[in-house]
This record gives sequence, structure tokens and C-alpha cells, in this order.
Amino acid sequence: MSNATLKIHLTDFDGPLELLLHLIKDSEMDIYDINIKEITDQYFKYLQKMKETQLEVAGEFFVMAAKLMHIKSQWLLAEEIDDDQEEEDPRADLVEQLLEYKRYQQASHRLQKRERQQQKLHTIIPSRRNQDVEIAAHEFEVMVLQNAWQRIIRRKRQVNVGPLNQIEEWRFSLADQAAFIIDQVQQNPTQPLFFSQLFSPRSEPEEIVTDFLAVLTLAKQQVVRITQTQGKTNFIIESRKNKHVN
Amino acid sequence: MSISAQLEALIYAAGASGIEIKQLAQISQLSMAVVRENVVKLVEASSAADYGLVIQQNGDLVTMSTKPEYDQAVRKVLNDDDSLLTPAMLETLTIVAYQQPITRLQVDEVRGVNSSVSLKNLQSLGLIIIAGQADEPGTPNLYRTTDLFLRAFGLTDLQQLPPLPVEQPTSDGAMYPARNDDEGEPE
Repeated sequence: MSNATLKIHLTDFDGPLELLLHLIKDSEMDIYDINIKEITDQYFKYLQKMKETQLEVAGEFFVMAAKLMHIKSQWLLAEEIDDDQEEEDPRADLVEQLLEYKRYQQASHRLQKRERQQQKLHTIIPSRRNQDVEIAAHEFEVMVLQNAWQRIIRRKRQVNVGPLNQIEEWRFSLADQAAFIIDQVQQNPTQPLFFSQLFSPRSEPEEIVTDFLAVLTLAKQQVVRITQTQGKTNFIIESRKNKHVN
Repeated sequence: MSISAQLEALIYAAGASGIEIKQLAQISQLSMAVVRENVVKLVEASSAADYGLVIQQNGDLVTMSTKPEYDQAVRKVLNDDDSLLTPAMLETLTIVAYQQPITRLQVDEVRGVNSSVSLKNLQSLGLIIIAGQADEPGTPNLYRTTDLFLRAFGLTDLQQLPPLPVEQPTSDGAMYPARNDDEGEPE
């Protein structure tokens, strides 16, 4: 198996059908005439590699593994009997499923191109007075926070050299960070507090994660209000008036 | 006061979220028909080469934006605006777009994986909504795309979706030789 195959992220590559299509294409097989023995071997090798690299393998991948084994056994059986009778090809269902999936995969690539074109059109952010905007609980968009978070991590990677994947000791508590944030917000009520101001670019990941969770908790308790900034690169934390913290 | 100029001002002020025909009619105290007619005129007029702004109508949503040819320059003024869609979300959205209204289970069947997270994220982005329940055991939710989806992909309506690709068997694919003749689209 080529190393290139392993470089694909699980997030980009999130289903057994996509993996199978990839393996079929990689080994230059005809989708209408899949070498079921070979593809099953490759599929199992891939699952093995996924486990070795400690990727979390979703249940669907094992369901497909079982399906492949089943087809393989039927295939071997059919070869052995070989009585010239027209039997249904054991691969038929799988091929249908793969073709259907491939069609939508292609359609999604086309749509993605359209989306990229559309992103070349820029609109203004409507001017509204911040004070008048109340975000109800059901209007809360997780994606906004997720986006801010991703940018913070991306920027952090550029500044910080240390590994992000190991955490030795969790030295920050949610309660401490929440108290710290409330303190920051109340110190200067007229000044907007940006999320990124809570920590320095050299802060450890634990601190940022805890700060982030603390902000979410405070927002949920309606102690602070979160506003998205223009350009979506950051967000502002404000104290909600008439709310008291215990 | 010119009707189209007034509508233009409202569309400008609505900014990134756009404004619906219905809202335009309410605010301007005009009939929906008059608004529609004037929006069409604005869309046409704004496509002229010497305007840097363009007005688009996607479903009932009207938006004003800069023209794509000035993307590079405009990006220097604004912060860039990455896509929020992961490949999994895009794939899920595509299936919903072509098969709507559709249940989660039907999406899962095509993708071979559970799509509940993607569907939830697409909902929170306003690209899809629950459009009722399927009349089957458990009355699962039915999903469909929104006008915001049309806007995100620059489509005027759903009829503009590019036709779903058709997989053609390769010449040496001996498994389904009759497929070409049997499964061709009816003329």
C-alpha cells in the first residue's frame, strides 16, 4: 500500500465507500469487475494501519469488512461449483452502492466549485447597534465558535513550536478560568474583550481549551454574552447586565 | 423617490444575510409583484460591466455583493472568508439537495456512514431545515435545502442544480454489458 493512502485524514475520508472507491482507483481496477480477493486484502490492510496509527475506526468500516468477507466467500464458492448456471454476481449490490455513492461524490465536487465561485462575491456585514442584538438560546451557532477556535489553533501553530498532541498535567480548572474571565470582563466594562486577549500566543493548549470551555459555560449560564467580530476571526465577550455571579 | 432605488438601498443595508422579497414588500409598502419586477430589473442592471456591485436573487433571497472579478482586490480589504463546510458536510448537503425531502437514514444509505453530525451542522448553518416528517414508522424528520443554500452555491432555484452525473461503464467492463442500452435516460 502506498504511503499516500495513509496520509488521507479521517475527516476527509469518512466512510467505507469512499475508502473502497479510493482503493479501486489506486489499484486501477474496473469498478464493474472488481477483483474481490485483492480488494478485500487491501481493505483489511488499511483497517490494520488505521488501528496501528491509533485512529478511531468507526463501526461502519467493520460492517463493510464483514460484507467484503461475505462476498469473497460467495465468490470462492461460485468458482468451485462452476456449473455454467447463470448465478447472480455476489458483487452486484456492492457495485450498485459504489456507483451511487460515486455519482454524489462527483456532484458534490461540482457544487464545491460553484461554492468557490460564489465565495468570490463579498457582502457587507449589516451595520447594527450591538447593544440591541440579543441572541436567544436557540439561535446560538456552534459553528461560529468552532470557526473562531480553529483559527486560534491555526495561528497558535504558527507561533508555538511545542507538540500539541500531548498533555502532561491539567493545571487549569474551569472554575478558576471562569472567575478570571469574569474579572477581565468586569474590570473594564466599556472596553470590548476579545477571546484571544485572555491568553498569550505562547499559552499552553490546556489553558486555551479551559478558557474556551469556561466562556461557553458562562454564555450558557447567561453571565456573559458572546458577539461575533467582523471577519469571524475572533469573538467578543461582554458582561450581561443585571446578572450576578455567585 | 424611485422604487428600484429604494429597494436597492434596502438590499444594500441587509448586507451578508440578504433580504427576502416578502420583507422588501413589507418595508417598502409595495406589492410582492412590484417588488419582484423591480428586483429582476436591478439584477439585470447590476450585471452591466461598469458596476462593481451585483444584485443576486436566490429563491426569495436577494443579496448585494461585490462582483467575482474583483475578489482578489476585495480580499485585501476584508479578512478572508473560508468555507465552513467539511467534505463530509458537503457530501451530505449534496445528497439532500438532489433527493429532498430526505430522511437521515436515506442519506446514510448513500454515504455508508452515519450523517447525523453533518446534518446538525448544516442545520445550524441554515443551509438545510427540517421540512416535516416522513410517513413511515418512527416518523423520521425530512430535510430540505434553504434559500441560503441556493445563495451559497450561486443558484437561482433548485432547477439550476447541475444534473447528477451518470456513471458510464468502461469499455472493458464485462460485468454489465447490457447496462448501456437498458438504463439510458428516456428521450
